[in-house]
Amino acid sequence: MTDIETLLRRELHSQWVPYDPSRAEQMIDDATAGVLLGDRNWGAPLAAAAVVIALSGGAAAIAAGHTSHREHPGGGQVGPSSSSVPSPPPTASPTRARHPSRSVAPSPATPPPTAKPTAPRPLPTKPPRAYPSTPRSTVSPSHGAKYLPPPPSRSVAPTAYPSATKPSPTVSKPTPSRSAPPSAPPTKSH
Amino acid sequence: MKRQAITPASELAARQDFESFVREHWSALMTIGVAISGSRTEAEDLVQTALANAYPRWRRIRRPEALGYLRRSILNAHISRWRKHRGSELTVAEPPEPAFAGPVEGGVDDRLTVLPMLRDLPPRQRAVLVLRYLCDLPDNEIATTLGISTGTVRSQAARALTTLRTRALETLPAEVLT
Repeated sequence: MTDIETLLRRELHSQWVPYDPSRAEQMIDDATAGVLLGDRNWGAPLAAAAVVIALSGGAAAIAAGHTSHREHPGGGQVGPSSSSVPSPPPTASPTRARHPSRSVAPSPATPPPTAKPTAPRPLPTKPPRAYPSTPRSTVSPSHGAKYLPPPPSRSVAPTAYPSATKPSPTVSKPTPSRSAPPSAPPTKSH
Repeated sequence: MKRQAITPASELAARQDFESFVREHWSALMTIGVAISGSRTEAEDLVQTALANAYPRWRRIRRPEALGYLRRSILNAHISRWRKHRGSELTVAEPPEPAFAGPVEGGVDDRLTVLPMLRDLPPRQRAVLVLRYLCDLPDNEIATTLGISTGTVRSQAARALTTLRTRALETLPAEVLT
């Protein structure tokens, strides 16, 4: 049996192309004359590559600029949240200023701040109905403004705790103070 | 790095060297082209492309490597052309004639049947077989020429030969194989 390799070798060698001088000279002339895009081949691909690199580089630079802007200012995750953090202080500062004034008579300083902060304050943690259970610490500023009159009774309540050991009476105290707000309204502008 | 200055004299010398080289190896290059493409016309295109690409950098191509460079250029041109025209048929006025129409020692029938089978193989396998059985190159030189590993050369050749054997058993007359 003739092996396929032998057959293949024999047939491939049978394909030998005899030298054709005229054709060979013509091909040499064409090659040396650069007929076949010898130089032109490089121009278009290089130009296209340069354009692509420039565009992608620009896009990457822009993207990098955006990302670095986001990361740098705060050092950590400081994107849009950082901008929102600074903004609250101005709104919160008047209310904080009000807390110390709570113990003092709020008459001179209160009117301007109370008008502003009541609206922005969202009372996030506090349901207003929770007052009776936790009267002191969780008082929200806006409601604090309402309950300004009771403070004297509040300040008394903690001192009473150790002796009475009953938080319930103090808890019940704010509820009466709720009825007090009608007396406070003069401070409430809204 | 110091670059060789291009003077008219060196230009002329390079051109003469190129011309003599092409005259010397034109038949071998054309035979590779015919074996790989199956058509004399396409072989001329492949060789012409390879020569035109080689001439501008002829000074940098060392003479011992020039033939391998041109072989590789022909095979790569064929593979890229095959990729570009894959699935499309070229319409020609006449079917491509065989490069050599005379009788072959051992019979005509097998010559007419094995080469079409070779052309049905994927271009990489075809290139490996052409370099091995036409150019009689060892596997490591085939690997260098095609830019693949020696193991890949062997596996591609074995796969191609298996395919050819299977098809030959189906189509070749029994007297050719006995």
